[in-house]
Parts: sequence; structure tokens; C-alpha cells
Amino acid sequence: MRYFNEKAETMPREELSILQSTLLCQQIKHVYDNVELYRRRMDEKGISPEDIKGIEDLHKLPFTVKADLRDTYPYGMFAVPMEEVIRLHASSGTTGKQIVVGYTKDDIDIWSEICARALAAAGADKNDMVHVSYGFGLFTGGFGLYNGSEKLGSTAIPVSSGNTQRQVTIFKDFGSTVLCSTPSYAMHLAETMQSMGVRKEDISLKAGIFGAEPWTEEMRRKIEEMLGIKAYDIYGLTEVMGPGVSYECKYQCGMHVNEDHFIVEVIDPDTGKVLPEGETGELVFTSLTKKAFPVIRYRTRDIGKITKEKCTCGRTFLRMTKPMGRTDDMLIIRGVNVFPSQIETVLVERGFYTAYQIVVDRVDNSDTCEVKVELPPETSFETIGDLETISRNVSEALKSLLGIVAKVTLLEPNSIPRSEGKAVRVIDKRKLYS
Amino acid sequence: MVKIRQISVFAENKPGKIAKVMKILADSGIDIRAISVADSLDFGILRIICSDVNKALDALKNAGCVAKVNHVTAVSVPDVAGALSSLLCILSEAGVGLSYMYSLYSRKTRDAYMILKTDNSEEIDNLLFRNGYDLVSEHDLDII
Repeated sequence: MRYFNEKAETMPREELSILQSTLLCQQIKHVYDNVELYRRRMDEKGISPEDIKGIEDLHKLPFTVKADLRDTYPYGMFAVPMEEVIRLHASSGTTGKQIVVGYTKDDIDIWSEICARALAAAGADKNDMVHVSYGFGLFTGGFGLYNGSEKLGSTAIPVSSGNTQRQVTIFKDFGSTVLCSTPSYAMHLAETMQSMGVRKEDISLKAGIFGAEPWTEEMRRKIEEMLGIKAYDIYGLTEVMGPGVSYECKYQCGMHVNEDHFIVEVIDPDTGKVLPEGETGELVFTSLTKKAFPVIRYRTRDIGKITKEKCTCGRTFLRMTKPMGRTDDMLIIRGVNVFPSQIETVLVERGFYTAYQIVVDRVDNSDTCEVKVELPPETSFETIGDLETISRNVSEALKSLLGIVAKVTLLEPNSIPRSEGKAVRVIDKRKLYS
Repeated sequence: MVKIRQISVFAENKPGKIAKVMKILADSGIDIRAISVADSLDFGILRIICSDVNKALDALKNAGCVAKVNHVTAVSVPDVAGALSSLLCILSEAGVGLSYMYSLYSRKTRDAYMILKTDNSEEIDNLLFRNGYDLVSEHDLDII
């Protein structure tokens, strides 16, 4: 199967523009009528829903940022009554910073459809066994691909993450053919397979769909080699829908944005000006069809660029590059989103008020995080054990509060270089964005 | 309780770190009587018995070191084969755990001492005393 929905995926661009315009007008009326924040923002700018006549008017609308979603936590951005909401998910954000999103029955159908398109583009059909190793829970990864697999009619294997040796056994015994996971977990699965003496010839995997964290072309080749598959990229974010906002076809020259459901813009992050096709800037998404939690011009903080050039695969949807960086300092460590400021809060609350440094690296294709902190001068200690308890407590707090696994290293006071300008708090050695 | 003061200094496990601490003490005219180093993968603790504890502590703190004073037991041990073994057997039989231990030689008394830190630092004095050991004070060692 080449396409899941040939009519939509190969729609002529003129027709697509008309569709987007119609949907946008409906969506703006919907959010204006039902979400106080959108109504207030538009009123402040003196824009009424009637002023939006098509996609050419999109730039007139105010942006939505992550803080808006947090400030209205938990349900302030919901645009339908809760009786129409059939599911909630939440961002992989952490203590006090999570965002909760809702879906109507139609929203779930749309989400399933776009994930089915991604699976079909990776060569899957109803004969496939789709092994989903993303976490099932509030995180959108697991359920997103699971819904897609069901929609496509393939056999879903909702394994979730963890218990890696058992996953390898499932590869062998259940005959998984398509793997969905984070790229780093795919690497971990491949390595576990090797250590168990299972060869790629012993399993039936043929493709994998990997997302939720940045990865390089080098890592793609390594996963393909080790698992004997073709590896596809997928993009999405909880605030906009979850995985499937854009997806790769077999030509792997960028990810096709499901433009019948989302509009993507590229803006200059400093001025907010929309940039022409081909220029690099911040990716901004508007959901056209999602009803429970619609986002209008949502700033993702992901940096990328788009091209409308026709793809060899026949899809007319424009393509976006994989994110080339972030406009903020968010780190993604083993699929967990974390801001340096959150790590700082954990440190300060435990009495580490002096300098710190976060060193992130990728060793054997797995992220490592080291938090270096200066020991406060008044620290009470006598034995090595006392000091080890101090670092272990911080390490455990980082794990339980932020969900990151970090080695905590104690340093002498004043050993972290003080720079005259902006302090270098984060050293990311991974070179994820090329 | 008969205890003597020991300064513990936190040091990263990197070349030159102990030398730096020694230089700070040297520049303040501090005389080191005993020293031991405990190490882990990333850091270590320097334990120092020295002259003029207060001055030494100030010098270290002013130089930005993380330094602490702890109280430890100094017990006289005869310089003969099996002496340390006998001492430790007494601790062992009394169920006393040892955190760390190192030795000190006193110019004043011309004797050898063991510096001990045990998990019951209050009762250790009695235990040693009952078994005929001499505990020394800072005054005895002339390190005040």
C-alpha cells in the first residue's frame, strides 16, 4: 500500500489551499466562541472571526505559546464541554509544568488517520505486526501509533517500553514486522538482541518508525544495519496532536506535514515575521480540525524549514526538515523533556545555591547526563559515605521529580568557570542537530 | 571525653588538589602532624591533625575550601608487633565499628598513636580506658 488516503495525501495544492481556508475559518469561529484566551487575544488585536477569510489572513492572528497552555492548566484551553472529550493525554513535561490536552471522538479518529498514513508510508499494511514500544499512558507516543495501527488494520502489539529482553522474545515469537519507538530505545533493543545472541535474520522486522527525540542520520544508518530494517522519522507534539503531525515517505527527504489537518508556518523567532519557503526559522502549527484542544499559531520552539517542492512519492503535502535545534534551552534526554531551570530548582531546593553545570552526551547511542555541582562551603561531612549520600539524594530527586537519570558529581567551590557574560550551564556534546 | 580535633577537607580527585591544600597550610605556617587521604572515584577527603586548628581552618575557608572540624580519638599504641591487632580485637569484641583510622607520631612524647573514628565515639573512651590504653588530648600532643 503506497498511501493510506490517496485522495488526501495527493490532493492538488490549489485544492488543498481551498480546504485549509474553509477549515481555518470554521476553526477560528470555534475557538473564538469557546476559548476565553483566544477570544481575548483576538479582541485585543481588534480581530473578529469574520476578518479571517482564508489562509492568507492567518498571519493576522496572535501566536500561542507554551506559557499560555500552562497558565490555563488544566482545562482552560478546551473548546468543547467535557462530555464530548473521550480521552486526555499530557505532555512529557514535569512537576508543575505539564500540559493536559483532550480529544473528542473525531479528534481520535483524525489522530488515528494521520498515524495510519505514517505507517502506510513506511510500507505497512494490514498484514503487518506493529510492535509499539513507546510508553502507553499520558505520553502520546504509545496510543498514537497504536491507534494508527488499528486504523490501518494491521495487528497492533502494544508492548510499551521497558522489559527489553522480553521485547526481543516478542520480536522472535510474535513476528513483529514494524517497530515504533524512540530511536534511542531502538538502539537499546538492537544491542540487547545482540547480547542475547539473536541475529537480525532470526526476526521479521522490516521497518521502524522513530520519533519523540532528536536523532542523526548516522544513528538512522546504525539502527537500520543492526535491526536489518528501513528506519523512518515521525514528528509530532502533544500540544498539537501527538505523533503523526508529519511523517516520512520512502524517499526520506523531509517529513510530509498532514496539511489537511494542520497548517505549518516558519517564522523568525525574534520578530515573529513569517519567513518564505526554504528559510530556516521556528515551526508554528495551527490545528484545522481538532476540536477539543485546538491550537492556533502554536510556537513549537523547534527550528526547521519547509519545502513545497513535489516529492517523488506523489504526495503533495509540503515537507519539513527534522528539527535542527531549539529556540529555547530545552534538553531532550532519553526522550524526556527537561529545562536547565528545572534542574536548577531541584539543586537550589537541596541547598546547592552555587554554580552548576549540566553535561549531556551520547555514549553507545544512549544519552548520558552528568550534573556537576559545587559543594556549598558549610556542608557538614566526615566520611566518603556522607558525601555519597548527598550526591545520591540529588540524583534520586532528579529521577523522581524530573524523570531524568543523571550522575551527580560534587565539585570544590569555584571550580566551575565563571564567565563574564552568560553562564555556560549546559554542555551538550551529542551533536544531534546537523 | 578525650578527643582531638581533626580537619576534614573535601578535594576533587584531580592532580594538584592535595598540593593546593598543603600550600594553603604552608603559607599560614601550619605544622601538619598527621594526614590521611580517603578516596572515591570522583573525590576524596583529606584528614589532617595539625598545629593551630583554628588558624588552619580559617586559612582553608578563606581560600574557598570546604573544610570541617571533626572530633576523633587518639590512643597510644606500643611500637611492638601485634599491638594494633590487640587494640582492634578489643573494639571488635565490643561490637564497635571503625569508620576510619590512621597513625600519628608525637615529637613531644616520642610515642606512636592511632587516630580512630568509631561508631560510638562517646563510649570508646571508657572501653579503651578499661583495657589500659592511654588517650591523649590536644594538650598532650602540643597541637593546640
